[in-house]
Amino acid sequence: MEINTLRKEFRKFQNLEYYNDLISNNIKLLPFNFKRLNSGKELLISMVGDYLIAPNGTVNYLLEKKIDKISESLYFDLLSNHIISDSDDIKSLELLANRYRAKKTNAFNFAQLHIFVITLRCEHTCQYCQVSRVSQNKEKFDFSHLNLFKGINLMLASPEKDITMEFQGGEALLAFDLIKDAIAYTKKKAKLVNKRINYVICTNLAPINNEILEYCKLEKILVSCSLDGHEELHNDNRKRPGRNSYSLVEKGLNLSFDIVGRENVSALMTTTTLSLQHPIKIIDEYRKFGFNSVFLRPISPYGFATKNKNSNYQTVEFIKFYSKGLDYILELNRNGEYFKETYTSILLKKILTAYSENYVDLMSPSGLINSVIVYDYDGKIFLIDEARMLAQMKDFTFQIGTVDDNWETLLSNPIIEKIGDAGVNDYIAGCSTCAYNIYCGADPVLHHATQGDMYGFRPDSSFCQRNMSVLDIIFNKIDNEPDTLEIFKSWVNNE
Amino acid sequence: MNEEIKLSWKGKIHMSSSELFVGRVISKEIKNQELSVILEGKDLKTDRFKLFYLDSTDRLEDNSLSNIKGLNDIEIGDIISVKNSKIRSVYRTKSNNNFIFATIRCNSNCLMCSQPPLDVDDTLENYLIWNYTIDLLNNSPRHLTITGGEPTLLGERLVLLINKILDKFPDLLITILSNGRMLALENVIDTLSNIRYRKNVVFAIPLYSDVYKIHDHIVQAKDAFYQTCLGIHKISSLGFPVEIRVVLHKLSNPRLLSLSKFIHKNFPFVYHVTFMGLEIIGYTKANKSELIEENTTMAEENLLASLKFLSSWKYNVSIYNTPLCHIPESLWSYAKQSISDWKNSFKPECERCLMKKDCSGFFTWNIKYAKVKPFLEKP
Repeated sequence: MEINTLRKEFRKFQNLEYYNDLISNNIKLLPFNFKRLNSGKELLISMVGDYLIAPNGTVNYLLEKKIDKISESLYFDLLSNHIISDSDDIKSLELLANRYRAKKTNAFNFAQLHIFVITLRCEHTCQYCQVSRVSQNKEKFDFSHLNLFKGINLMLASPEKDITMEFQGGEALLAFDLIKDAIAYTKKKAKLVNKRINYVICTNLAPINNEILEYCKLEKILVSCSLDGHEELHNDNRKRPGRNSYSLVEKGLNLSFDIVGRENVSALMTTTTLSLQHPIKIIDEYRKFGFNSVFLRPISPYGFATKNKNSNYQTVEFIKFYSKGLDYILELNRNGEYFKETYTSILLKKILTAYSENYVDLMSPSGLINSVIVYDYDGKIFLIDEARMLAQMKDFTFQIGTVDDNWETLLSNPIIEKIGDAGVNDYIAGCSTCAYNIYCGADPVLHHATQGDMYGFRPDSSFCQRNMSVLDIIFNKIDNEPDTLEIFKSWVNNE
Repeated sequence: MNEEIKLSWKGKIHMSSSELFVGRVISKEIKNQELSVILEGKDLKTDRFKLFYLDSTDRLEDNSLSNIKGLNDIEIGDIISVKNSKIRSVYRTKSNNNFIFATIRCNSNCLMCSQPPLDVDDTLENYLIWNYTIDLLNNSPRHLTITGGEPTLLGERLVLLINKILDKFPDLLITILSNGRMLALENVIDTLSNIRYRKNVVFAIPLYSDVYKIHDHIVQAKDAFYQTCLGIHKISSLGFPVEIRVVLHKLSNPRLLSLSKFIHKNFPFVYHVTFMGLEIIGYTKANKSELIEENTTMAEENLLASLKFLSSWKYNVSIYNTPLCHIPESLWSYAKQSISDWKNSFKPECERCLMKKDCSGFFTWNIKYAKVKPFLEKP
């Protein structure tokens, strides 16, 4: 053909309708879940976590294929948020597969957090604690050197390149010399297998001193402490001879800030019945110490804790506490102060981005195995920290072996397969049709502990109740408060 | 530069003109307003080294073209190709905007294409020209764009050229302007995985809508949207940086914010998102009624909301090809001087404007449609 004829051929343009895949009203629904918001609007969430807030009636129109009732712009939004498809062959399938993989990327990992319960000894007798002993008996309640080194060898034989080694107790610093031995051994061995190890010490700060902190600075160890709130509350929760836990934390925090720097110090709170009335005071306490976040964390509702009056509260009461706290925090942000609530931020990352967050309770497949491993003081290996509490009640379901085993033996424990099954919320009754499925987890440990069944029964699951409520609060805010969405974004961005 | 830089010329053939000659300008002489240029290079068909002469007057000599108009801006060191009576500028030593023209073929046929494609197989010829041009380069270009047509249609040869030039100049940054559709194909991805310097090669891929049929209509190709989306994922997973380019016009403006949200959710790894002004040349002239925005208020609001959305998520965002007097001052910080020198012009009124040095100006071919509002006082 002559160039000019070719040119003419190319200039025959087709109109928009020519590119439309939709035949009459034959739309295809992609897997999505939905629920109604307080405003009466409908929240639709795709299988990869893209959400859309649509007018009342939208889902019904989709089900009945009455697409003439849906505005063009909403129709386009439904397409672009992967809620419907125009053609029989879902042309976005491979794109969706990539998106789903990105959302579930944690499932491809092995544990990056290795917790060593270096000693069970503690000088506190906290209300909610069930795994510590006031004792001088190191023989009985500390890790033996032999078991410790075996545990470290196991940690270094696991597949991840970047590992966090966390020392817990009891009060970990009562075994400071043992921690030093552990780190020296780990450093020497890690070099040989080319792994990078970050260290964290969890402490109540009571035993902290210059010498310990100088060592932390030298070894780049993060200091993680407990701070439950203002002085009266903290001392009520965290009992100690002399009722001086708070003043020791205050002293310890300031000394830590001075020596290792603010960026290497974090604090964690536990909510007891006594805390429920004081969300604002607790938050202000964190602000007072210059922290810009707080994790409003409920107590793990099992074992010993449920038998104690100060730990045994209803989820509804916790949600009231959380909600009040969140409103206060948002108000701080509106007034120009950057401050975030950590649990909300973890959920927001899943809601507002294509990615996820490595937080054990909110993972599906469950974060057991692919997120955490716990080495107890006596050489037992558990799948999660909470499993130690169950073990105190003589329930060893989540113990996969001891430091004398190798990974082949540990991972062939039948419990692992069971968790692989019960830890995926996509097909758990109550979860599979839940709007929030993609943002949530399964938590087989909690359901085993509270309901005697790893799959669990959602209608009276405290896990389900809490997460549904928190997500309802988040989405109703997104729906009603445009400025809150901007604050939420800033939390996800500045992490 | 206000003058349009010429990219091709025609001359009169004499005996034994080369079939495909590529050479470097080694001499440029002006006598009595007559210009003669000497090229030193190679006839790629016979692989023989020789000199070649370009003249503005009538000159009867072997290995020459004569009666050529507008040769003036050719400089010593520039690289030129000659095929029959046609002369092409291949490489300009003084330019910041050198490009490899990979092919005039394309698998899309965009309504606003500035360089309408032809179904002619010129891939071997363009490959041969650049394969030799790389040998002739003494210094690294500051930046290099690979354009077309659709450059990935060059296949294996694209990889050969990229590896060859980056072997020679390992710090060079290359931008490939690809519609990304071929990148959805496994065999194309396999071929491109042989590029040895992935971090140096940016794929700049256009996406015009978050709705498949609007994008497909704009690029005039069925299923292009899904192919491009998948292509973006695949090329990025090989480790190539990806830039997404959005041309602003009546068909893309209404869903600009939805498109930005779509990019955030589906392509959060992109390193740059650019919103580009329309070039009124090529097909755009034929599709003006469909493309030229009348509702400029809506368009401006959508652009502002999109830029705000993407920057709030920390994306690197820019506006290209749009003069400052065409956008509100709140968007100036995003506007880049982006138009290649050879197609960049200003209106005479612009000389008085205080913002000219920060302004992208116009595509030379847009100038006759353009209205300007020079800033006579610092805004």
